[in-house]
Amino acid sequence: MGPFSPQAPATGWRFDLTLEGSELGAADPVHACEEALAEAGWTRDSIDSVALVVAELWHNALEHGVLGLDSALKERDGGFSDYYVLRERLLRENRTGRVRIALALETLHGDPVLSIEVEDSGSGFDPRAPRAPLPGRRSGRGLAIVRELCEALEFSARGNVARATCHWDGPLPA
Amino acid sequence: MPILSTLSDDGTLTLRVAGRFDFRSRETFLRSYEECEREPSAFVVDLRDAEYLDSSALGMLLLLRDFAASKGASVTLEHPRPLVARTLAASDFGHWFTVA
Repeated sequence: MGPFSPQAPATGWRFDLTLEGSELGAADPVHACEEALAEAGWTRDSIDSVALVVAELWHNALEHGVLGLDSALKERDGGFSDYYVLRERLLRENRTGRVRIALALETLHGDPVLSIEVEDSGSGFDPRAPRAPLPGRRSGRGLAIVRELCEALEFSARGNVARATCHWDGPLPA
Repeated sequence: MPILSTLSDDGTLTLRVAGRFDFRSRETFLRSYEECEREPSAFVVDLRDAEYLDSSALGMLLLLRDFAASKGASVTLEHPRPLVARTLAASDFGHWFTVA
């Protein structure tokens, strides 16, 4: 690892989950991540914060990445409900999408951190494109929440890999 | 996520939400204020039992705000836990709601 790659993978702890096709509508990966963190000794309050980050990234990956849903629909009259009705229909019809979620204990500048990586099989997006939410809009706040709760958030590949880094808030594996 | 709604004598509708407040609560949350037997004069969302609010829950709160505004009523968000308060602040919700 060179000086520009401060994140070195640690061997201590890792949790991986891949959902494909019909599993995407049936599984609750947020709950699975919570159980993994609880087993690693994390407290309830710390888990809630990470669960919210995982939920935002997972919903983005599933709804925008795999299903191709556009949040602009939420801004129309009745569009908020329409969005979730369409989400259900697309999920039922979906046969091919894939989302991978990986949590790992890593070190950043010598400190233990939790990395949360969420990758989807969608066509990605340009994270540099301006997309600041208009103040009264009903959508577009997910990434602001992730940035508030994490130390860092970055996108790679074609914009279909999100990686958030948070404090490691549990005991360190012996 | 369960929602306990109480309409007081002064016309305040209090919606007490518990657990994870996200898109799965959408229909329950909408019904809790749209199907009220009397028209409320004010709305309170009591967040003391809410573990977290995600971005879709923030959208639902804005829908409630639009609904209340169409009746000339206000919405107050009460007793957020630290994580919920942080989420609301990151979204600049103090601009849209009274957070108490």
